[in-house]
Amino acid sequence: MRDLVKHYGDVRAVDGVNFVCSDGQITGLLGPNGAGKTTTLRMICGLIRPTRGTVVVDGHDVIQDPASVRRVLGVQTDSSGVYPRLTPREHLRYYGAFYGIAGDRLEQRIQEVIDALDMGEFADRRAEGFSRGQRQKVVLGRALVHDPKNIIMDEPTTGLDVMAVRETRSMIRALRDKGHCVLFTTHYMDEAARLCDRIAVIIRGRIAAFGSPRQLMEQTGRDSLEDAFVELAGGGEGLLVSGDAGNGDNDDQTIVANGLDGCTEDSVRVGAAVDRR
Amino acid sequence: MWTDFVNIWRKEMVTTVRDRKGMTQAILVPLIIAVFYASFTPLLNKAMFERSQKPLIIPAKGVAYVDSELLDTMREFGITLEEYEGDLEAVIRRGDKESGLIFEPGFAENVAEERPAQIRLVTNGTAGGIFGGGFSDSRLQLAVSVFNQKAAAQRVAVRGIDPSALVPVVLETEDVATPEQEGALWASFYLPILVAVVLAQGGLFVAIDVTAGEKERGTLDALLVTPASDWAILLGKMAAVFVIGLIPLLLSVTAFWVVSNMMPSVAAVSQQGLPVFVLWGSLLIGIPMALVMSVAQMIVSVRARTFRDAQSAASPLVFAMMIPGFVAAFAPPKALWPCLIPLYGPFAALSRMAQAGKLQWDSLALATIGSLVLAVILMTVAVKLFDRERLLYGA
Repeated sequence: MRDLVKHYGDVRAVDGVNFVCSDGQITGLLGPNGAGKTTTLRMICGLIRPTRGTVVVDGHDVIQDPASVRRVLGVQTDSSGVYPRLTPREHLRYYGAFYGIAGDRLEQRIQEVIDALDMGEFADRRAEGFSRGQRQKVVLGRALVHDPKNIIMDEPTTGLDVMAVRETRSMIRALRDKGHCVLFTTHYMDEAARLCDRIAVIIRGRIAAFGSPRQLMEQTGRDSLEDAFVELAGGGEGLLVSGDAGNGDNDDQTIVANGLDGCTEDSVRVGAAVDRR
Repeated sequence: MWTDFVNIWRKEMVTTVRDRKGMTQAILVPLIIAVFYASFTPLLNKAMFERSQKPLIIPAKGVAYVDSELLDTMREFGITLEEYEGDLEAVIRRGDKESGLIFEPGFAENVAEERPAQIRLVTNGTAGGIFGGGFSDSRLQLAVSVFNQKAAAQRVAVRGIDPSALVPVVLETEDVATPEQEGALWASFYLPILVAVVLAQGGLFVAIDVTAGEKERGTLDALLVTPASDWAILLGKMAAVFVIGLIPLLLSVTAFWVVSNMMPSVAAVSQQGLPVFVLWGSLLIGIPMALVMSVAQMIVSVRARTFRDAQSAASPLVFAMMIPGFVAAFAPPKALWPCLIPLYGPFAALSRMAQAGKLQWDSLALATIGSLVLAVILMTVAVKLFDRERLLYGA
């Protein structure tokens, strides 16, 4: 993301976001409600046109070629809505077809996703009356059916029971281990601490901090990510990152405290190294 | 784009067809309307015909004073006078009886002596309720008129005058309408209204379901993050609305035709039944109109946040379709050019064809051109309105 800005009139929903998500890593985008997380994700997917700046995914610029960006993304939206009159298998067939997969290859891939998400029992039942967990699996499945290299998940575990949460987290880790680039948002700090290799904290539309969970805790002087997050979000004070923090290769990036108002394009340089693959 | 279009269209068709409640309504409501419209006029005609054939028994005071020839003439018209014991006028005022005749003493003598003989017809127009019809005096008037003609002829004949001198002008009526025109006459009124009503409602539930319904279900985001182009999404959904919208049109027009022709008791009084060209004409003008409506329904639905919003927003569309239908039904144009007017033209063409008793290709062509031009204009508007950001956040 390069200097990503989205204004709605006088409201600055996203105000200069820069950071990089790397392959083989889970990047968490954390922020309080209304901080700009979903708007940022929607700009990445090309659903919302940025007021300024752009997003580049695997070499495709979202402003110039949004369809190509969408083609290399798998997106699990924040809604767990499904079509009640389609079965999960039909859902996957419908979404898979948008990515140019067809015939036996598509059916094989659908079966892989059904097996991976343990959806066999209800794969051929219409989705009407599905539990939240079952719907969430369908939603996750449709994001993964085309085996995308880059995966975006908006609060994937919200509202799920303990077992479903564990399954989802395992799935996210498995995707990372296979080399996928995963960007996800969550309100659960323990989840972020367990899963994320990198965390971007977004406050009032700006990146207040970027680094590993350990780095955020160390730099705020707190012994939990939750406390570190509260420290970053509270009182108008926050952390700014300087240095080449976004390439995913450098664990020694510097995190410096700064006032949020000073979180400018120049001072937040986490996105300096954009997708070096 | 073609693959995505087909993918979206197929999915919308499958989910719509599986919506039993929606499909039942989409099929049953137009069928009921069609059967009602098709049978209303013939059944009304039949009821009136049967009523006109039914013996008419009229309560009367002073039947004994009546000239026997007048009684015979009345019998020829199925009218029987029944002496009423009691206050006839009071009974009629109360509404217990619709009408009655009062003959004064000396009625027969007055007739015989060529003096004016008066009959009082007392009626209460409110008896029988708003559709009771009160008392129709046409049969009675006819019987009295025939008696008067007979009596007058006898009187002038006695005086050596040719009775034909009493008729200075003779009006001869000749109806040159073809059987097809007769058969389609009442359809020229009901069919434009039927087509308008069915098209206005036809694919609306699908249009709302595939747009505002997606927002409410929370499935729209997932579709918009796919690589499918705006055109593919819009056209795929629109095609489903169009195809589903054709089903009620096809069913209702066919049902209208079948009921008009196949129910013997109805067809017997609708003279010639409904010619088959009316069926083809309705479908030919209805298909481009269905396209116009599906685009218009998509435009209003796509900007709504919820199902309910979309339903409210679509209300003006129903009137936009029905008002031209009613105008064409009540005042069918004589000229050809009004057939080109979008929305009104197709109904005008249908009405003209029904009146002419045959398919009119010029009317059909103009109506189709008008509809297609409007559909293209609306399609352009729809594409401009189809903005992913606006869809997500509402209008």
